[in-house]
Amino acid sequence: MNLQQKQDLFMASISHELRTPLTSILGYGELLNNTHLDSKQQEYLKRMLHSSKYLLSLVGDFLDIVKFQNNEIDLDLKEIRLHTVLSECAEIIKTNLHKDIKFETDIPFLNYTILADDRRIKQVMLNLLSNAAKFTKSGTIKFYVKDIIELDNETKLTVNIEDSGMGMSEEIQKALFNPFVTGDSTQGFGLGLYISQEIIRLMKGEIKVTSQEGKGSTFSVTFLVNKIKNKNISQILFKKNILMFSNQSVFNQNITNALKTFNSTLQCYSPNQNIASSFRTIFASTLEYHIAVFDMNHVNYDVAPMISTLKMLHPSIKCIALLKQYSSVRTSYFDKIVQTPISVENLMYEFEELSAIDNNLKKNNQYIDFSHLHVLIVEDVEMSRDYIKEMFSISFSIECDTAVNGKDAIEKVKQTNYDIIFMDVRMPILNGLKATKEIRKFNQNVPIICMSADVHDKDIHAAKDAGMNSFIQKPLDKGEIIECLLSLIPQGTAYTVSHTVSLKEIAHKYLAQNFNEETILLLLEKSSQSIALYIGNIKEHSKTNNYQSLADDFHAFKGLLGNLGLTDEAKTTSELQHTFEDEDSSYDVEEKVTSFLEKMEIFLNDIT
Amino acid sequence: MSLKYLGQKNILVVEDDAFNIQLIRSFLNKISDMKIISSSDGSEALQIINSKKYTIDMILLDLRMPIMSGEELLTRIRNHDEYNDLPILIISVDDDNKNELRQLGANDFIHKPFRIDDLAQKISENFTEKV
Repeated sequence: MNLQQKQDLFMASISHELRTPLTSILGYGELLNNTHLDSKQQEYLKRMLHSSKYLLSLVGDFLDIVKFQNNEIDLDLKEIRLHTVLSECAEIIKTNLHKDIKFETDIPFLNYTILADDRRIKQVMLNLLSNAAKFTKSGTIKFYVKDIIELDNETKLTVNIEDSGMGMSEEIQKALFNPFVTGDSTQGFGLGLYISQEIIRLMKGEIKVTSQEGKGSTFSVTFLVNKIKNKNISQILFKKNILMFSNQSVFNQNITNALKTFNSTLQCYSPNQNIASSFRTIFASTLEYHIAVFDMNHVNYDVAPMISTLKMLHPSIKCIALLKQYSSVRTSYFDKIVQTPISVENLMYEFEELSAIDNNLKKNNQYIDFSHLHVLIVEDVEMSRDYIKEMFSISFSIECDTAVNGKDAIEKVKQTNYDIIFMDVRMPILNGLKATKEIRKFNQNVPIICMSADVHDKDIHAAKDAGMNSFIQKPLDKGEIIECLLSLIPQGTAYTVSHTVSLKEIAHKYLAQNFNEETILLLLEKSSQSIALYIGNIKEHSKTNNYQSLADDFHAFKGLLGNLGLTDEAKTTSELQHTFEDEDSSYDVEEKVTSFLEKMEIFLNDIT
Repeated sequence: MSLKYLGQKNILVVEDDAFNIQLIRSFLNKISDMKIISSSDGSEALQIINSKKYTIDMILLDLRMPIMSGEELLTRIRNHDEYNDLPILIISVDDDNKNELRQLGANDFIHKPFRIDDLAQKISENFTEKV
């Protein structure tokens, strides 16, 4: 073994040794985060998690450096949409910015998809954006696509990250892309920019910097991506029926025109029209609806009953909310939130994406019942094993079996018919690769997922060669596990159990701001008595059309729901209270009351 | 914010919703040493006050209640001279008739949904004014 090989082996084992305990720290930290902590404890935990994630990124950086020096890095090319990747970067960085900083983005849609490594593009952009954030105390950070040059099969993109921060001297600028140089010697190793530059070089591009001390810096990232042509929107949007609740008539007309080319139809309902009659028309229609768009900037009624009825009548319908700001409306009913203003073209792309993606369950709080799955976790480190078991139990309601090494695993697989196995690689007695080879001798079908902190390409190949089906990296990402589990659930049945965040969860979280678990339970119990009483009263008074009493009932309900943090429901009760106070039976309130009572009965059932 | 400095005051909470009473009780148990006496309607509350079993230091009063409403209870209490200085805070969901209620003798208003800091501050202020 020569020196270089020894060094590689050393780096590989260092990374493994560091990642394993980090998995436990981050994992248990996340679990702790979901328990009831007071604000001080939450703050401490946030800092611990932040530092742990930073440490993890450093380990990742070191590994990247070794890989670059050995020319071991390959781009993992996938069909992606430029807009999606860059928007995700913008979203991530937005939540981490100081509130005095203005963040401006301009990310255009390309009317084709590209072939590129989204993970690496994100790594570079996030690195540059977080640098901008770090060195800008106030002012503006701009993140925008500066140039798009169309070549035959490729597109040359230039993305700028511009800040009004402290800037850099020319000396620092010159040395910036060397490893171990930073603008601020007190922070970090300065590996990020070096790695970013190397990644962009792999994409046949470069990162340039212009900067003036005290004025700010601009990083300009130019790189080439492959175009994927013949991406045909019309196929996906062909003969789709779309509902739209919006009063921007010109906008609607433009969408209608755009949709005509696909033989699709758009039915528009103004939010000012009589809601009940619009609903009746829609519910009575024999058309199959595929997409419903709610312009939440103009809709001021509760859309939840509408959406749930639509989803019942048209199980595959996708609901989009158009919204100026992300936070002002509860968004869990919607399949997608689209920020306005939006161009017709971009909205068409949103339609296309929604129609194309059927498994975007992760994003929309959809809940799938995984609890029937038999899962085996093979992991030798006790702490990690306990954590994974706990995480599966909490996140997926799966009670896993565990095995402590490869030999143990083989015994368990012989005895039980598992749906999926998550297998560590490095284990005493019998390692994961050898164990997989043994298992494949008598069971070719059970999916075996490799969990490893070793992320060199050769490790991934070794796992595949041994007969493993796929590879997930430690620390485990819940999203990746969901994808593994989703693949086990037959298409179409995935939606069978779907719900949004329950009222109990919202109320619990709200009360947890001030109270310990014991008090919360007491309060929920008290509230259940009140709710049961009010539901009874409302039913009683509905029978006799006693409007004044109903107004009182809903008034009392409003106070209670508000105190449980259920603001949307409190709003509904408030509307109903006023309806009854005005003795306004001009539109069908019965339906609204029924749907509200159903919701409350479910909630009551949950908390009793 | 802690109200421990106020010591063991007796607070009468007149509110017909058991959950809301429990919520106030839990809030105040957390930040103060006050004793919470509760009643679910106006006439019962009046009996408690008239029985003089406790020295009531403050009343938190809901408006919409069966049998005797909050407004009526408020009027009746203010009819007695001896209760002129007793702070009465109205628990309300709406802002509607604040002026009327002030004229009837309400000292202040606590909004639903309750916020612990708002509740603590209103109680603290209305005790301090008295001194």
